[in-house]
Amino acid sequence: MITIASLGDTAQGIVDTFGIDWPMLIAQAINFLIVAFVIWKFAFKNILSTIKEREKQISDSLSNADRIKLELEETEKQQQETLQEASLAAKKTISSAQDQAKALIESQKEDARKQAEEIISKAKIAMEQERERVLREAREEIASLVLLTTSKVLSKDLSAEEKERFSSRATEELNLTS
Amino acid sequence: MSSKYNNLVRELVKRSSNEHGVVEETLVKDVLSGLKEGNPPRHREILKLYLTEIRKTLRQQLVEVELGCQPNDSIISALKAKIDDLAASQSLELQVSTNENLIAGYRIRLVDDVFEDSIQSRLSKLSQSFTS
Repeated sequence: MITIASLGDTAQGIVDTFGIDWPMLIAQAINFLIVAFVIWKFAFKNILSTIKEREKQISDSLSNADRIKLELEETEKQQQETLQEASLAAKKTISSAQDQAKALIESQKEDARKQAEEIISKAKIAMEQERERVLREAREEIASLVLLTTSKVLSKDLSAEEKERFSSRATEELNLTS
Repeated sequence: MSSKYNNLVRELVKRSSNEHGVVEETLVKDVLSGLKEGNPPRHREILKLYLTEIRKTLRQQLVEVELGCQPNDSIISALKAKIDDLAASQSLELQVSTNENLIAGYRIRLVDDVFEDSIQSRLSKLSQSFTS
């Protein structure tokens, strides 16, 4: 009992010391509660909602950033792969083009060689024909000259008697039935 | 037209030839005067055909002989003998001339055939043998 009484004294002492006015305290507490309610109801709730929204936005942004980062990485990877593929394709194309160019050059060389051979062959034939023609013309010319000269010489040198003897012998050898 | 008068023209040519089948100028004149007197229809065509036939007959009866030397009896008689042997049934007339281009030898034209053995022809053959 004594203890309880002492505790009551102690509390009374504190109240006295700090100057607590209970009605005022209660009124202030009620005011505080009302203000707190109003704030919670009209401000704090909106702020919380805004904060939550911002958090969500931030979270979305972060997730978007992660996604974009991943996508970027994926894109970079794909780009690298594409570049590698393109590089390979380009190498293949270049190699193929080089092969084709080599084949074309070889083919053209072969064609040129064949054409050259053909030209040489034709030239040889033409030369041979020309040589034959010249020889033939020379032979004809020589034969013609020989014939002319011999005719002149014979017609001049043969006497009438020799001509008659030749004609007579030719007539004897004449065979009209053949 | 020509076939229609062929027999007549043939008969006229026959009448223009002597008993040896040789066309004679007098007989031809007789035929022509007969035609003139008779004045048959289309006598121009008949005369044309008659001329053609006479030319053909004369060409067949003529033997052209060219000699590289002056013609002499021995050569001509030898030629005549050979030609008579060939065409015993037909009378042929020999026309002999000199052709100095032959140098020596002969060239005989008998209807469509030509027989030649002359120095010129031998030289030509020699020349051809060089060029062929």
